[in-house]
Amino acid sequence: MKKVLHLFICLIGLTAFASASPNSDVKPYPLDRCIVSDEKLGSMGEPVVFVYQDQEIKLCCKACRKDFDAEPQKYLEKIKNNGADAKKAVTSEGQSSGGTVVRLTVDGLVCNFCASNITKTFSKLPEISAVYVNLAAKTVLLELKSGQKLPEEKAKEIVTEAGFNLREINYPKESFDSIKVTLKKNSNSK
Amino acid sequence: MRKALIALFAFACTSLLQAQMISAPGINFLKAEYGHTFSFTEIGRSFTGFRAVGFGGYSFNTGEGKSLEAEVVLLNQLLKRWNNEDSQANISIGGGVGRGRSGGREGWAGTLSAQADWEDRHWHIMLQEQAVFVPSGSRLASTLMGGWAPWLAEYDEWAPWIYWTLQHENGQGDGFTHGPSLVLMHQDLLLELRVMHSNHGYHAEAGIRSLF
Repeated sequence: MKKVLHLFICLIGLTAFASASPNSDVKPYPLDRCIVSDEKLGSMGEPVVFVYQDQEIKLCCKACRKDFDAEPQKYLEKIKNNGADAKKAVTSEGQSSGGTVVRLTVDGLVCNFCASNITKTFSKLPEISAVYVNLAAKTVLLELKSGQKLPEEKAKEIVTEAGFNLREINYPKESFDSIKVTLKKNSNSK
Repeated sequence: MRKALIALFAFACTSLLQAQMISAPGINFLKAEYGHTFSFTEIGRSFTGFRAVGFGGYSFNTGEGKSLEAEVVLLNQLLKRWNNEDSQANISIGGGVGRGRSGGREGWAGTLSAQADWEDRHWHIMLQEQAVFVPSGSRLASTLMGGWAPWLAEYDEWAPWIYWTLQHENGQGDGFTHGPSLVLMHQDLLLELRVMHSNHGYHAEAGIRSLF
């Protein structure tokens, strides 16, 4: 009887230990930067921390949580590669060394259907890996696939064919996600 | 004096207004509206940013046995677009040829339409003329819409608009109908719910537009 009681206590103990440490299989977040925006964790207040599919995630702010939830697998893949993409995009000086980012300022970009048209137009191009349109900033942000280029003349032609006017084109040093987050924050604060 | 005022109004409208469903190259569109007296569906594809082709079905149910229906092949053409830093204005026309029926007679049908609009991110005004011709009659629906966005939303957020619509259809006998509508835009989708008031009371109307 004593042995049965002992075994019972041990079982309870083991169960309690197992339930008290449910995160024992959770992989720690390997980066000191937000996987969405590349911002330094803590630079925008207390990081947002949660677990997704046994992977600890740390984001710089709540706005990035929306982006993460929209494409969780993309960011899990980034983390899986030990943040290789994020590190590639931003060097210690904040200079981009990854896929080229192109920022277009477009006249006539005023409504959702305008945004939809230009998003679909650029998404069809083989050299484009990501498109983000911000109406408040009249901006079309493009991320090019590795080794690809988008000369100004071609960008202008595409924007004109889509029914808009290209006002300005530049090639920022920051990463695509970083600029996207900044644009979103700016438009939310307006 | 009256003619001058009408001309001034027409000029003001046409210089302000915008477009029917013409999208960017290679993009498809769907536009449908269910109204108390006028309903339609248009589906098509834009081959350039200025020209679209498709199919349209139109139904006027103006009471007293005067209904009219037509199904046509459509061609929409954006005549002119003004792109400014914070606004856009368009003038576009459309035409169609197909089959139609009214009063028990069926035959060739044609449609003509013209739209003009101006919008910035806060305000939108649109004038649309839609004419449908069949051998036994014709209908002309004129619509003037003014909209206001209570707050600005981004492409991936729900963008609300509040509109007021003024509509007239010839042969209807109801005179003008008018009423408020709520429009919600989200990415490729636009949904509209409208309450129109006429001599016959209030009527709920609905519309949808989408790019795909």
